[in-house]
Amino acid sequence: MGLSTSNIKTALHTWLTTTTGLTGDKVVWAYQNAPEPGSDFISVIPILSMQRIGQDERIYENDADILTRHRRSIIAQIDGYGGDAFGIVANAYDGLLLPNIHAIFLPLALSADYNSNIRNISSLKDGRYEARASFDVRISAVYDSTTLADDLGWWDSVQYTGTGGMLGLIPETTVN
Amino acid sequence: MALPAGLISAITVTRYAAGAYNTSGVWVEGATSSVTVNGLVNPEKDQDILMREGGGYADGVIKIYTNEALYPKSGAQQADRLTRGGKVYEVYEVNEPYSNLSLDHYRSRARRVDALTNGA
Repeated sequence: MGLSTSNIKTALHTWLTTTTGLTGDKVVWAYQNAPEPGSDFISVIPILSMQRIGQDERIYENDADILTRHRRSIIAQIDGYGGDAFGIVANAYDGLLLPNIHAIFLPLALSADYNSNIRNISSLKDGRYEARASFDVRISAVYDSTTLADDLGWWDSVQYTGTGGMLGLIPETTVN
Repeated sequence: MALPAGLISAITVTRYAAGAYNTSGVWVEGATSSVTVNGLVNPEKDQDILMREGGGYADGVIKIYTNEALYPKSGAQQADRLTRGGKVYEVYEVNEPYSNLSLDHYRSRARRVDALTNGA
């Protein structure tokens, strides 16, 4: 199984609704080509960037498949909008390291930590200022992927024959 | 005046009911219906010059002249869409008729959309 973006989104969404008190339809994903949900709300970019942490770990299995364990650092961006944008975002920020929030991420092989301060990014909208606040959260993710031996190009065929007491009982055979 | 009958034909438009975000923060489009309007469509050019403040070029844009109103995206209302030559276009701008002139038809622009621009 590769990176599960749905797990990351599930954890982020649960954390944000739990700590801000916003309903699920007010914590939305960015870039949906969809209208704003109406204030106050949070827009989330679940994967702003992804970085490899150390070397990927390769485990050679008995059947010659390779299990690769990936460790990644993923940055998510949390943007709050509305009259209390900073307050809402601060609630999410303050709750990030609480045990109940840690318990949301952990079963999904994820953990979350701060990656920035909260920034006031209030800006003009239709000629009037709209309150906005934003911060980044760093998610550590561990996930595995399997490469099948058949896909590695290590061999095209297998040849076997009997030896010892089996000599002559198993003729030389080639399997492609 | 309305567009002359000899110039126009029936255009089928997909119209959306208001959509909403679900409890997972995912936008769910409203139900669709087919609506027929009467008008004409200027075909897409490779590059269209939009003469407006600041100027600009636009690719994948068609111009639509209709006797009935089309609807761009507005609030929870998704924009009208129409298909021409196997391509899907989304209305993004509608100019109301000039009531004090004898031009009482709507002039709209629609931009080509595809699976890659449906959002992420």
